[in-house]
Amino acid sequence: MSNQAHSDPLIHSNFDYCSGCSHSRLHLLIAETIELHFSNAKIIGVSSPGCSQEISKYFKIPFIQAPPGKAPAIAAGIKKGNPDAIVFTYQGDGDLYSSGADTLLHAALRSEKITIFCLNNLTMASPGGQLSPTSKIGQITATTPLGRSSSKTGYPLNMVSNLAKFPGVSLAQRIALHEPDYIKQALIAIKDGFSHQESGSGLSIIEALGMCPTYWNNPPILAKEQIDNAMITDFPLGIFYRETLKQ
Amino acid sequence: MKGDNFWPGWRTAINASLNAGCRFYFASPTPFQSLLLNEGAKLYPQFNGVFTQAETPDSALSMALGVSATGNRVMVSCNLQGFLAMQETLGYFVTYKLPVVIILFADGSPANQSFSSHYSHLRYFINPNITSGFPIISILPYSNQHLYQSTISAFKLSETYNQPVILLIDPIVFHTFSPVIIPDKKPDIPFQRLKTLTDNDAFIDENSPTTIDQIAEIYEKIRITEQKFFLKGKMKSKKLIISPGSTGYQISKILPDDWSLFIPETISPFPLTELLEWQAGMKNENQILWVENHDTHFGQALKRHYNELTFKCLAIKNIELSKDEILHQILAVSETI
Repeated sequence: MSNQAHSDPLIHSNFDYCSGCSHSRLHLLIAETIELHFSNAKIIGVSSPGCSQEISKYFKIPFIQAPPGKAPAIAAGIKKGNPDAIVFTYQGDGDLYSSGADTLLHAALRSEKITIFCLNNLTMASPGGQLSPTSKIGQITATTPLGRSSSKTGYPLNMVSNLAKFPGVSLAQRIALHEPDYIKQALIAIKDGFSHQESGSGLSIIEALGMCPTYWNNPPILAKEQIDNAMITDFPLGIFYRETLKQ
Repeated sequence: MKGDNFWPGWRTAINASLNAGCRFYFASPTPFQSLLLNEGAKLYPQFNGVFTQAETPDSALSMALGVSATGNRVMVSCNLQGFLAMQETLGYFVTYKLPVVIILFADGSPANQSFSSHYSHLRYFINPNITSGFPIISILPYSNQHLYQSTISAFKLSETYNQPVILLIDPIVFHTFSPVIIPDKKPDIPFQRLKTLTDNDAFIDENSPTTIDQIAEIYEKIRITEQKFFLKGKMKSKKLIISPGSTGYQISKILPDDWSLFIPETISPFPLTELLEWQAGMKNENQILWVENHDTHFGQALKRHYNELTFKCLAIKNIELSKDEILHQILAVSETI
């Protein structure tokens, strides 16, 4: 297994994502955190199906591609086999909260020492903008052309705030990526996520609110406003639970 | 974990896996394979191993994928329903060429079938090509002692061919206490894997089969070198009994001198060539019998799969019958044909 120092964890930063997509920004923040604070650590990532699986193309650190929804379980296995490694999953809301709900909940119940990054963009972007568990009421998606109706497709899932109630979770935080101030907080949160794992305190989950201009049917500048006006109102930012780490 | 022991199959399998150097075991409770979990939960921590009860069989295999992908030896267990639930992640194992040993409590296994609805699953193990068309080895031990050896060899095989190996344990072997002799010398299974999935060039391993021809070549190698069977008696005998699993083992104890017995030890690859040789040596084809405990129709499925096989099928009503009663049942069937 590669033990090289992660002085420059990215292969390149010419991302192939759609214009305005938040994945590239979250990639850069994770890479920056690794470079600044964990450059000598053994780091293994797990990617999952969806737009998020592209992450392995851009990082020099090893990535394992998980079956749909199984990334937390695979990360838990990697961590058990490599207790000295920092293991993280990188997933979208469509994968983590839908097919991955059982593995996520049970990883949290077992207090697996892993870090989970989830980019929540309210839609299943990779398959073509379908309804995701986090889609808002009234949101138009490919499979809810008249808008999400609670009577037909249920209510949006606010998983992070619920996971914060699990005793096995040591950090549950939601961040945003669309303004400089939020990015500063995001950097602290990402570092915190890895630090909680290093200290062996429990599962850390960081959900980043991101935009998907392509399937929100808005140009990036309007999609950015949409995060402020419509997304943060339903998915408030903040630390829902943070265990104090021992020095 | 050495010397003479008196163990049930589930205890044998866990001890054998530890002796084989496995230190990671994941499983989700399902009837009756959960006896393996109970034993694993006790023994694995005692040997610095890791046992984790997973929420689903697929999740257990996913954890195993994480362990195996980073170069560690790992085992999971399940029953037939659990195995079917594992198919998705099993496909990833095959695609990634990762070794794992799957202990499968085959309550619908050849020779012992309690629930006929499980039968349809058994055809799967004759030729379990999953996802990529890559053949998977499935072993069927016939006794507790054989289970111990089979568990050790399952780990060897999985790392030799970089693929999952299925160890089918039928309910009688699984539950019955019987003597198991463990050699003083611990099995030495060197890690034969050169790379892990987290090596950067894992996916461009030049030895990876990439074409149908290459896969066929590997399958042929597995078929020739890994098919296993147990033989008792002589060719051209009065009767040839073919019987898999524990039923075959029971029959081996009461086999008349002028009969012969063929126990297939691997379901995939199935020892077809050898069986056909023995079949050809029989003067009267009606004297070739496939004997099972309960009617699983597995013999019928095998005949449909391999048209060359010509045996008649017999389901013994109760394997605990006396020697005379079992032989009487076998004779009654062969005489009426």
